[in-house]
Amino acid sequence: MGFVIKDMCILKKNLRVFVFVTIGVMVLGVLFVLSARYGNVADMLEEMQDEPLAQEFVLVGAVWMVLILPLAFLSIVVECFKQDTAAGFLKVRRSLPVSCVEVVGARYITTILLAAIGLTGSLFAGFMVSLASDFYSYPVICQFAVGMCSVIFLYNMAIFPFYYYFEDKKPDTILVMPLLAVYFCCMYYMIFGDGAENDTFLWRIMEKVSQWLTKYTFLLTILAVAGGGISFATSYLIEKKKGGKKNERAVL
Amino acid sequence: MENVIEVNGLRKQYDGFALKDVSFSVPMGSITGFIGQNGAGKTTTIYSILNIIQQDAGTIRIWGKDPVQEEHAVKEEIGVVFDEMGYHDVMTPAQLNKMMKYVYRNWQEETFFSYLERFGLSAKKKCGKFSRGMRMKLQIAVALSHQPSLLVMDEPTSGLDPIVRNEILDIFQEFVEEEEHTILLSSHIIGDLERIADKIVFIHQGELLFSDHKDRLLEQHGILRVKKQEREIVRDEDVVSIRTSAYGAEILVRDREECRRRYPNLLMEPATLEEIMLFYVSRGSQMLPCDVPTDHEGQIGG
Repeated sequence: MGFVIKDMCILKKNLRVFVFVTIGVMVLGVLFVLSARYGNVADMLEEMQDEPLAQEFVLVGAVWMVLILPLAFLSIVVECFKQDTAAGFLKVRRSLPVSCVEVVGARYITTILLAAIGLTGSLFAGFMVSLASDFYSYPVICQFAVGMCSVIFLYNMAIFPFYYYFEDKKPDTILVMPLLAVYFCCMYYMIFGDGAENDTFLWRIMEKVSQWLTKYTFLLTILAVAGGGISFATSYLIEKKKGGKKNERAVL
Repeated sequence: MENVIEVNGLRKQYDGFALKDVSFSVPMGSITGFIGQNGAGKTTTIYSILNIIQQDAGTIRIWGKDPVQEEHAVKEEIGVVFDEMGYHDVMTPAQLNKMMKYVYRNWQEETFFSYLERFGLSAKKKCGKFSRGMRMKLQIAVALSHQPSLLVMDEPTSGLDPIVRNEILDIFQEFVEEEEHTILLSSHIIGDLERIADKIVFIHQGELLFSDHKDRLLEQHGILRVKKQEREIVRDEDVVSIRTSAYGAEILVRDREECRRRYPNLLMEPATLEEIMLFYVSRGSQMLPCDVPTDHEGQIGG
């Protein structure tokens, strides 16, 4: 619990910024849907007529707007690892009467809390969007948000053991590794898959991802929970058996 | 006297550095000063005691307990102060208090805030905005607020101005007024240890040079100031080390009273802790293993 408080204190500044991001996302989400429904909002306010945007655009844009929140909240967890290293907290941590389970567990609890905050904001923003739009029902947006949150959570779970393994070495490289994997998947799709013959392949990817997320929400949620468990066990073992020895130079 | 810390045959190897069979003890109720140059192995020894790093060989006992096997129980009783703060710059002492409440079973919130008040530290100010002296005081406040019986400190006074150093040393002396309280304090500021330490452990290039009570060290060692031609009079077995200059030599002897009787015509002066340390360092590589003084009561030198 003490380390969760510490993590939250470290992230306080980021969280404060995210309050405004959340509000901004909600406002933009609603404006986006209004634009899609009635055309350019600025023109509409000046009582001018404009053509509504394509439904495909709404499909991708409005919902993705809602999904920024879990992504934003979960992406800041890695800041805790960086800050711990920068402050030299490693040696302090090892001098305290706390077990490895408590140390590693605290970071995972922080992640779950941030995922919950991000998802709550996302669901609320999704609700606002659904009120302004009849393109999507709220349950569909919820499915999309939960699915996306699970994917981002899984991403975090995948990189955490690397942080415990390398601790103070190249944290940004660790962060980029899973993104590179996604990038190569997209490249593969673009070169060898359907994307090769499609001009708007990016939109198609986003659309496919949207459909996929809503279709497999439950599976993704289960995977996120299981992935979290596996990641925690791996990080714990690294911290307990390998971490201490590997990182002696870091504390000296 | 019961020992709180017992270190036996401690070894740790790094690239270009090795801690070689370091053995010493820290008696209960005392302030033990751990001295040595930068890179001598003080921090490595302290980190091994705290189980922050793993030693290659040797045993460490704290209150007779294995600090690895009974890590949790042992660390509950130890207050630690590092040379650098280690707390996050964005955190405030008030937030540290919230964190530590869940870390230490015996955390005393009132004690912590009373120390903050005594040290003139604002509970709401971010740690990053504190000066070096304030950061040290904050660490000491944290270290003392969970009722520890042992304080282990790695260079807590380095880089501080004399007034703050003095203040901090007073706090340490206050801490050991309680009979069961003990301090192990590493420093390369000999003056500080000369003032407060009861026992001195001196490490040089990863090897223990001596470990004895400060008063005994100061009582027994002496410096003979001789002219060049008088150097030959002094027997080798009395000599710890010699410093020569154009006009004469300074000889550190290991038994001042005996040498005073043996060489009544030579000028004998008491040696300071700093001089003892410098002479032992200058002798350094010429020392034979049997010369290395250990923790035997009353025995200094070979």
